[in-house]
Amino acid sequence: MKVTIKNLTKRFPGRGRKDPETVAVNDFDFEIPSGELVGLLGPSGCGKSTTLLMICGLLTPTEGKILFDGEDVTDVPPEDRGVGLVFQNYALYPHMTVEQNIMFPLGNLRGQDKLSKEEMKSRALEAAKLVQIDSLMDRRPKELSGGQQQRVAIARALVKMPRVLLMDEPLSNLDARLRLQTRVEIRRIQRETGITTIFVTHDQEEAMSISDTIVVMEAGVVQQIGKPQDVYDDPHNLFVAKFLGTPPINVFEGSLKGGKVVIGQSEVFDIADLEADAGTDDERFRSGGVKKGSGRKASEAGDIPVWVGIRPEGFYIDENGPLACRLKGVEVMGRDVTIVSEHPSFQGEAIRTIVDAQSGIDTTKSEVRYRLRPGKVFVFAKDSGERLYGEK
Amino acid sequence: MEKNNAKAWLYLIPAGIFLAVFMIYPLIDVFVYSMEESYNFASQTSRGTGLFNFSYILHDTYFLQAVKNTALCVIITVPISTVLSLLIAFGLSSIKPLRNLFQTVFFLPYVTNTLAVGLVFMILFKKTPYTDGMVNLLLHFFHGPSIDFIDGPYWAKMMVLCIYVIWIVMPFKILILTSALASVDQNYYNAAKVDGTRGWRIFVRITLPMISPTVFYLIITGFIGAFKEYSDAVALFGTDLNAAKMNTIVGYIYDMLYGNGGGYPSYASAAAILLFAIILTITVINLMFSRRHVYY
Repeated sequence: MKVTIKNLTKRFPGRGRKDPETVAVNDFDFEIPSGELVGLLGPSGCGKSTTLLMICGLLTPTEGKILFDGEDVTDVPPEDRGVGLVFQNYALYPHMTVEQNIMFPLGNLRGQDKLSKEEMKSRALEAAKLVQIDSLMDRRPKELSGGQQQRVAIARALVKMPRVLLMDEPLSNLDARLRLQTRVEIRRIQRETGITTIFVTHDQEEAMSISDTIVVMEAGVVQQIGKPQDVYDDPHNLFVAKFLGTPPINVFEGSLKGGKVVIGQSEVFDIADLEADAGTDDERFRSGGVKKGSGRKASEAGDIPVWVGIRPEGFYIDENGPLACRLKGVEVMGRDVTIVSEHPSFQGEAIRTIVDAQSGIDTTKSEVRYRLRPGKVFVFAKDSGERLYGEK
Repeated sequence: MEKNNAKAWLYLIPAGIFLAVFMIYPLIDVFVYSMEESYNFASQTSRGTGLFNFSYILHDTYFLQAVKNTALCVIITVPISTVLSLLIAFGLSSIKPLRNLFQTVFFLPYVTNTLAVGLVFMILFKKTPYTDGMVNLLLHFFHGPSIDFIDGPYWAKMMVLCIYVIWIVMPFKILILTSALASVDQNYYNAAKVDGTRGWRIFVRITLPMISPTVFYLIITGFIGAFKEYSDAVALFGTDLNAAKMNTIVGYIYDMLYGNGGGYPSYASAAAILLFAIILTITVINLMFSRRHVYY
C-alpha cells in the first residue's frame, strides 16, 4: 500500500515561558511506494520516531496529512488504520506465551471479523512460521533470546495482516552478530509479505543495507531521500555526508581558489573534476525525486572558504600526490588497509583512509601523500553546509 | 572461605541475639505454655501437660464467638477493600487534574490515629440521648428505621466494624497499587492500543496480570492483618468486647492475659497457637494459589 505524507509537522508545547515549543518534525513530505522497505535514519532526537508514531496514529500531527492509498487517515485512530507496530523493546506481554502474544491482536476483532479459537490459532501459527518461531509457541517471552523475542514481536505485528508495518529501532536491542542476521531476516519477511514497511534506525549501516529507500533526518527536517547508494554517492549536504559511511567521511577545512580546491597550502583537486564526474555518472544514478543541485559554476568561484569531504576510499597513495598527511599508523584489515594520518586542516581525530592492501605503503616514512579520486570528493559551503558543485 | 564464614557469623550475632531473645524464645515459650495445664506465673507451676488448654478454649463460647467475628471480618473486608482500592488506584492513575489532591485525600486515613477515627465513627453511628448519629439521621430522612449500630443487633455492629476496617486499610493498598500501576511500561498500553484492544480487555488481560504480584502481596498481608484485628473493635465497642459479642481472636488472647478474667497464660497461649496455625494455613494456600496465577 502506498503511504503519502504531506507537510507533516509535529510541535510539542514547551513548559512555560522559558521553554519554547519543540518542533520534532518539520514539514515532512514523502511518498512511499507500495511494498517498499523504507528506513528513517537520523541521530537520536531528530524526529524519526515521532514521524513513525504519527504514521501509526499514536501521536496526532500538528499539521499535515497522512494518506494510505490516497485515503486520508490523519484523524483515524491507530486500530482502524491497519498498521502493525514493532516496538523498540518489543513490548511482549510477559505473562502470556508466545502463542497468546501473537493471538492477542486477533482477540480484539469483533462483529463479523470475529475469529474462532481454531482460526486464531492457525493464523498465529502461520505468522510464527513466517518468522520461524513456530517451535517456541508455548514459551514465555523471558525464556526467549533477544532475537527470538524480536521475531515474536514481528509475528504479533503481522498476524492481523496490516497494510503497513512500522518498526521502531527494530535491531537496537540485539548484539552485533544477531543484528546482521536479523536485518537480513527482516528484509526476507518484508519481501515475502510484500507489506509496505517503514523502520526507524540511528544506525546508518543498518538502514543502508536493507532499505529500498532511506530518509535522512536531522532536527526534524528531512535532509535527503533516496536509494541508499545514491544518498551515499551524492550527499546533499555536509550532515548527510558525515552521517553515512563507516569509517566516516574525512572533512577538511579548505577553500576554493581559481577553480581549484585548496586544503592547507596545496591545491588538491580541480573543480572541473567535480562537475565532469557529475556529468558522466548522471545516468548511473537516477535521483529519486530529490531536489536538483544548487552548485555554482566553476568560473564564478573566487576565494571561498569551504568544507572538503573525502570518503575514506577516495584516496590513492601517490608519492607526488598533492595532499600530504603525517602518517600515524596502519591498520591491516586483510582485504584492505586503513591508514591513519593527520593533517592540520582536518576536522576531527584522525584521517582514516582505506587503500588496497597491495598499494605498498611505506610505513617507515613519517609522511604519506595522496591523490584524490573523482566522485569521492565533495565540497560544501562553509556556512550552510550545502553541497557545492556536481550535485546530481 | 572458612575465615569469611566466621566473619559472616560474627556480623550476624547482634541481630541473632535480638531475634533469639525477643522472637524465638517467646515462640517456644508460648508453645510450652499452651501445653501446660493451668500454668501459674507466680509459682511457676502447672498441673500437668497435654492438650487440655486447646480443648478448653475450643469449648469456650467467647472463643468461638471471637473466631466467628474474626472470620467474618476477614472474609468481608479483605476482598472488598482490595477490589475498592484497585478501582480507586486505577481511577487515580487515569486522571490528570487534581490527582495529587485526591491522592492526599485517599491517604489521610493512614496517618490518622485509630482512636480519632473511632471518634468520628461514633459521631456517625452512635446513639446518644441527644442524637441518633448521622447515619440514622440519614436513614430517617429516607423514612428508614432507627438502628443502634454500636449497642444494637449483631449484624449492625459487624457492619460498622467491617466498614471501619475497610476504611482504615484502604489508603495503604491504594498507595501501593498506584505505584504498581505507574510502573507498568506504557509501551504495553501503546501496543494494545495499536491492536485496537478495548479498555476492559486491557485491564483484565494486561494491567491486572502486570500488577498481580502487588495484588497478591496485598491480599496476603490483608489476610494476616485482618486475622490480627483487635484495636479497631476496641475503638468502636470499648474494652469489654466479650459483652458486646464483638471480640476477636487477638482480643480474646489479650483478655485471657490481662483482661477482666485475666491471668490465664495457658489459654492465651493455646489461642495464640491456634491463630498462628490458621494464618499459616491461609498464607500457604494463598501462596500456592498465587504461584499458579501470578506472573514473573
